[in-house]
Amino acid sequence: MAQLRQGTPGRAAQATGVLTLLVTALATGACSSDNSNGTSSGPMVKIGLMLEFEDQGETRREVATGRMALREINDAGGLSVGNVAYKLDVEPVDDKYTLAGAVSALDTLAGNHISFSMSPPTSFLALGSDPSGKDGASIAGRDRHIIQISGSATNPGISKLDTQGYQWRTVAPDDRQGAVAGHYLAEQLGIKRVSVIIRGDAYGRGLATAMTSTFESLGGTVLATVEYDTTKATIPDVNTYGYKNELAALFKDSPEAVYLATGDEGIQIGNSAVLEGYVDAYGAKPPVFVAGDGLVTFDTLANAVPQFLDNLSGTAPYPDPSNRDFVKFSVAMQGAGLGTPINYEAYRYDAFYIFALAIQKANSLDPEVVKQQIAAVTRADPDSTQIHVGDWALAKSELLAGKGVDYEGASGSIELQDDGGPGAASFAIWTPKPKPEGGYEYAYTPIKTNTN
Amino acid sequence: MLRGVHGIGFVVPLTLLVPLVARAEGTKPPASAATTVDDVSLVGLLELEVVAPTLTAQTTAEAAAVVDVVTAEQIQERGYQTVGEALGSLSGLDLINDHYQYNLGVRGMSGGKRGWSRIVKVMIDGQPVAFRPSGENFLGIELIPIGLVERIEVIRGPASALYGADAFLGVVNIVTRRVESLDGGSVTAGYEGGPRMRSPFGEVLVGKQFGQFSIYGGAAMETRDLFGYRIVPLPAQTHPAQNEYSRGRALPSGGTYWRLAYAFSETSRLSLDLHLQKLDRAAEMMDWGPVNHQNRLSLVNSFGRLAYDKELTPSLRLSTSLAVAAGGPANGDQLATGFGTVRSVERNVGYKGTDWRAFLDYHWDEKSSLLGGFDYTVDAQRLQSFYTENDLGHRVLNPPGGMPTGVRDFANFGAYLQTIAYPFYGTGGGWQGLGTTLGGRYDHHNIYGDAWNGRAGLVYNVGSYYLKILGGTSFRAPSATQLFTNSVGQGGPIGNPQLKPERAKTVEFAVGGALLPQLALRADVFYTRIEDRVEFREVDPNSASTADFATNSTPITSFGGEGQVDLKLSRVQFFANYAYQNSSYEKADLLALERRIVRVATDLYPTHMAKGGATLRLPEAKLLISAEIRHTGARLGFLRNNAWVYATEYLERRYELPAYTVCDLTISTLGIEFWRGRETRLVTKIRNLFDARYLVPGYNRFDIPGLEGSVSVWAQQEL
Repeated sequence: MAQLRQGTPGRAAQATGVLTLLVTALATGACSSDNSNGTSSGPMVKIGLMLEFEDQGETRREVATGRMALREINDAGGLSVGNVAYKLDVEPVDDKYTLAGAVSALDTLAGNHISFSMSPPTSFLALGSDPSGKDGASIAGRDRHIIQISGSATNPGISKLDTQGYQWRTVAPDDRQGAVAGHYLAEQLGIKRVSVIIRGDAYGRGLATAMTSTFESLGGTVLATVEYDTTKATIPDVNTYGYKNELAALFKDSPEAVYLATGDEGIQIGNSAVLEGYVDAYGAKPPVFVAGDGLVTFDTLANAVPQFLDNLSGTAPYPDPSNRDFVKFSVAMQGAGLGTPINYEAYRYDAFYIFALAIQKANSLDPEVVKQQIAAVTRADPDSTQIHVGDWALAKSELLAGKGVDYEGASGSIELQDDGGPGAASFAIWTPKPKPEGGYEYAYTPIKTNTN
Repeated sequence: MLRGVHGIGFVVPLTLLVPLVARAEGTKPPASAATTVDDVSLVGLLELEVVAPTLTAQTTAEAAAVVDVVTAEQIQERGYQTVGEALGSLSGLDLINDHYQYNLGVRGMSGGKRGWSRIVKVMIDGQPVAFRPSGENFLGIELIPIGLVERIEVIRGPASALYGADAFLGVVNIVTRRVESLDGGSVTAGYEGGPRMRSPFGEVLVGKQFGQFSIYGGAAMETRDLFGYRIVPLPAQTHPAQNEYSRGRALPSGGTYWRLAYAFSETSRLSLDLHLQKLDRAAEMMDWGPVNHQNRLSLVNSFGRLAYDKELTPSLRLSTSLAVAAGGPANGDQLATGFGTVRSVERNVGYKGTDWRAFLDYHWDEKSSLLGGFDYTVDAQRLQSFYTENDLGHRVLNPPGGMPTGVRDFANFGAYLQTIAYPFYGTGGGWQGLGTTLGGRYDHHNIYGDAWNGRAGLVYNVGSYYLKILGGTSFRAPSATQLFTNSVGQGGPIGNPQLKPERAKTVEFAVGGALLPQLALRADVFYTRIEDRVEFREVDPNSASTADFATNSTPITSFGGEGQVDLKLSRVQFFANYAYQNSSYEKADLLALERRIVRVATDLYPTHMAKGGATLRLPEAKLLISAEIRHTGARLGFLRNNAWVYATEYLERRYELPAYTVCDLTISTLGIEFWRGRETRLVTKIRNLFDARYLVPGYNRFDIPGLEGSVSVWAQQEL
């Protein structure tokens, strides 16, 4: 019964706006070409941003972060391709967190002549269900000639797909994060006996496998490994599924710690562990919960019950906080009203920057040409100029002068490799900490490992 | 016409038939009191006495406020059974019924998510009656037996200069009847039914004078049972509970109010007021667990007040009172979150409060006065905390961590001064109707600090016309639940201990008068700027949580106008009013490619509202027929809901709930006396006569169906 209404201005203002749009569209329509869209501000290169709209809080934040990155580039002159000036913008598309949804989102981008996309957001969507990855978004992107850079898909298997240079990522794979988690549990926390709960998809399995391998190699014992169906892992809702059977198996042998290779449904698992009395049963020394990056969300801080939150920490790919580019990026986030960066935001920011650099270096919007430059703009080379966060004007002038650039991003020195992933990686231990004014925030402690 | 009302089709004919029988039996003609609206000219409508605007008896035309009055006669004639229903007829007020209770909006501002009428101050004879932990006001049958209401005074606009916190966008002051007018009392019994409603109800009023001592009061109760409604998913969205029908539960809600008074003399009186509200309803449309059939919200709220009034001299009056108040969940209060697999949640909340008030009112002539007073309130608030229970009764404090629990004192001291001056009064010239009202108030609260508020009004009465130029400030204190609550379930809302009070500045211009003895007009325009509006509607990308946090919003500006025309012909009296508002606030659009500030229209409140009614008296037929129509214009859906519809363009594109029109028809007998020469009234009221289907705003990915048609019949016997 409810009606959809476009905009909130009055009818007169709406009519004026429509007229203006029509005139502008007519005037600029001739400028449009493949990979670019004409708008009132000139030709536009759109970069897709694949998201699960259902997870609307994250969606809005990612769009805002993406636009912040592109706004910096636009404000510093935008792209100049074939002597045509272009601005950049984000084109959000909904993957509905299904394989079909992700492929459909790529179809939407292809239908709109968009050849660049910050995606897929997760390993599950990237890899698909088939071992060959043929139903996943990475291969689907290749088939549609859409270059994808992911800032958050971390399964090592993605690097093994035959994506022919159409899939890249700025974030380190989970084999490294899992190893970091194993070290953290065994060495820093001194845990000997752990139970593992795994989200039944590529992300959960990849992370857990790497953690288990390292943990056991360091003398630890994995008491139980419990995998749950991902169909139960949609929007986290403490009331939709209690994980009772999983929790019973998890706590059967009284582990010292529980490792959660989960998405944000881990909130529900932790809350249920408390609610069902498993935590109280430990008395004065409650079990330790250690999670991967999947639980680093604002929802965890807001929705995890205190007895879970107070015993929770985890690992995540996270830039070195002392890195000057990360500091600059953090300041920019604050300035854009987005607060402190969390989770993958630096990696996503870098992905947008790499797209722009590669397009500029290629001096083309043809994805076949651009994909050849993706890694090149991130690699150190004696003849290339280092480009730091916010240095778009310098990067553009260097590239227009035919010189090379080496992007040093917000997430660190990226150095994209031939396998599509970054050459360097940094991780941090995250811990929810009470804020003086109430509530919780994440505290990050850089972790030095030899797992790289 | 109302569809599907079975088994009560005989009621309307019965109501029509009874007067004929009664007339044939030769009962007396209607014993209409001299004070009925019907008997006064429309000039008199502008001269109804009110006390809420200044604590001093003035006429509506003189009072330095935009004020409306619903009289006992109007309540009776139009068949209003609750204060909320009566307020629904007034201009500039928007009443939403979410199947649990009313949420009153004023001049562009809705109470919002779980707002429940907290943007106004509701008082009974000057005593605030909000459920203090949340500031919500009950406006249903539980507020007060409607038969005890002498009049409802409604101020639209700021009143914190007199009443302090929460007299924010308006004041509703219920003036109770005096013992003389009760004259023994009455008994009412009735039943409201419809395809999706069952609700037996009743009311008992008693009044008796024993020399200088009097006792009067009453009780009213209903067991409202709504069922068979489904939530409405947002446009182009689905909701897991969308195919589930609400199930009713017949739960008793009611209120009782008693006054024991002793008159030492004509100028000195001691009274004890006792008031108890019990709100107990199935709540199937709650954002935390729609149609999961396990939400039963049951609250009690009460006060006892000892008041002493004395005229120290013919021109100096002292009024003082000491009140204790308490409230909290009643037995049976039960919350449940989710849909499908449902978790039981226990809420721990409540308060015990003490209020001490006193003022002195000095009149140096008939119209001019100086009033000063203070009040001190201390509430021991049990901070709202929710616990989730598992099947075995093991309970866990809900998130987020770090939210304070336990009891905390909320203390406020306020002092105020007000002067009403008619400098030319008694001069006999044309300026003697020119009066000014100036007032100021200081409040200090132990949680959120100091607040200064003021008001200024220039009122000019000439003949039967008036003109008012008004300005004032007001504030609404953040409630304990806004400051400190943890989350009832996933999604919040979560309290924010950093909240600041909401503050409003308003200017108003009002005119009115009787163009003819039969035709009265009044109109006003207003401009309000609200700073730090507290809302549970965080959708900014700087917090990507799905949980709502209480936040202070950017300033909201609201402007609009209201007007009412009253027309009285020989047997029929009409009213019609219209209200327009435009409210918006600036917001940084963080999702935009370019940095920009956008103006965002406020949600939940209709831009246009038009209401009207007609009351036809047929004394010879011993019948009174009243019809009322309320048109509610389209309104924007909850902004957070809008973000589900337009995930990445939620500030630019909005969905709206369509306009709707609802008609009510009331037929009642007039002047029939079946028992001991006392009036017997038989009433039939058809609500939503044409069974309009409409939506009111919901808050968690759905909207709420409006109440469908129903027929209410009752009999009232005066004792």
